[in-house]
Amino acid sequence: MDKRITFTQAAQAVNDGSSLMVSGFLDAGHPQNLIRALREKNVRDITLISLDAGNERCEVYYFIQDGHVGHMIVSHIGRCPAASDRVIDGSMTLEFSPQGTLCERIRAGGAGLGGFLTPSGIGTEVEKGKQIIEVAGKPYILETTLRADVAFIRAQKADRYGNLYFRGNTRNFNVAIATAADYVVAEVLEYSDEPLPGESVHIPGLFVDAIAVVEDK
Amino acid sequence: MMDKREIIVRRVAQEFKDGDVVNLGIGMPTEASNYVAPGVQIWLQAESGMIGCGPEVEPGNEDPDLIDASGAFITAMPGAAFFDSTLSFAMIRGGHVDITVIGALQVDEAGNLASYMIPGKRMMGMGGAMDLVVGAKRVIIAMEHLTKTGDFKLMKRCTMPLTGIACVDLVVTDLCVLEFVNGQLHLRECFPGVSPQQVLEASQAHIEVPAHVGVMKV
Repeated sequence: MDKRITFTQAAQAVNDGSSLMVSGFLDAGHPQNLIRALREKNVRDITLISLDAGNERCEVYYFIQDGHVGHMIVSHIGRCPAASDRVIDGSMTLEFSPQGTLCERIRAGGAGLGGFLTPSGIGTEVEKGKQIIEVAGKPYILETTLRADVAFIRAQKADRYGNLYFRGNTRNFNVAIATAADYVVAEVLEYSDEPLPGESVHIPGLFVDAIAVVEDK
Repeated sequence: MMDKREIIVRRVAQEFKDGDVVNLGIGMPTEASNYVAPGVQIWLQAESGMIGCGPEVEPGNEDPDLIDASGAFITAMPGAAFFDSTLSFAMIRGGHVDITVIGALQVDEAGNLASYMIPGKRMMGMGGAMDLVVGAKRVIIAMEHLTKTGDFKLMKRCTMPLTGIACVDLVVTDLCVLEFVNGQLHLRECFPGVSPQQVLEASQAHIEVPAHVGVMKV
């Protein structure tokens, strides 16, 4: 089965009100072309789950700035002033989750778990409204899991089976996100009919529903 | 004359031992990597999924797939390794990072840290800081002793939202070095020309001043 689709087709998977996970640590491993296609589709009220809100090099930065996002779950927005401004003017709501907690919530969502216990955020605003559970005398926050309708990720290479290979430190949230959405699209820079060596597969193809190949690199 | 930041990061770098795994926060802490002593090799861990981060690249040689936590284009040292965020935070929360250096808005006498949000100002988010302060073996704060407007940063109780509780081990400022021992703040060193009395006057927190206070050499 050929998993290749166009960027425009990928954008069709996201509709008004959809929840969307987007990978990337700033622009490293960020699916620029998928988000660009989605910006053209002009969806509204997206629930966006991502590590950060991007910087001016990232398409997600403009996706937020242009008002496509209704709610955001994120760990850091310091490079995207528009995200903070939109919360203050009431056009977007936002939940901060510590970065390690956020990726574990996604991982757990994709791994069939009901939640997990973490010491991160104990005694801070992050624990508000959450259950605190003591294990061996130490308090932990019970954090719940996250899943999404659609995930957009980005890898260096894909083979015909959807196996993915990453370069440098671009894996970041890609791996967790690939497991935690109903429909996963990978933007890739290189595509090969030949299978990748099994040892070089960072995300097995079973997690990847569709592949969009970047033509204009 | 050295500026305040350089004094702070030069002194912070003296805490690094050969082989330490170190995570440096965005901003001033990152500069500490420029002053590691000769003969000491540290492993810089970036929460973005890398250990063995090297210096920033010369303009023109940027690799878009190699960035540090502040988005700067960097190089990889020999022996560097790449991984995803879940493994990165297993390192961080799981006690595999020896030292984290973080900037602070406020530190209080209970070792509580406020570093990620100034109420009424633009929101930033905590990023990886809450995981780092619960997981790293030592939490070192690199901060100017007073705010730009002359307000206290070493508080009786933090007034800004907390990043972590009872988590700070060492505080390095432009005036002094302070260490938490058994939950109490002790003055360890003063910058040349700065008296313990001056440190106390520039701090709201209660600070224990031992009979011998060292000199902060940078």
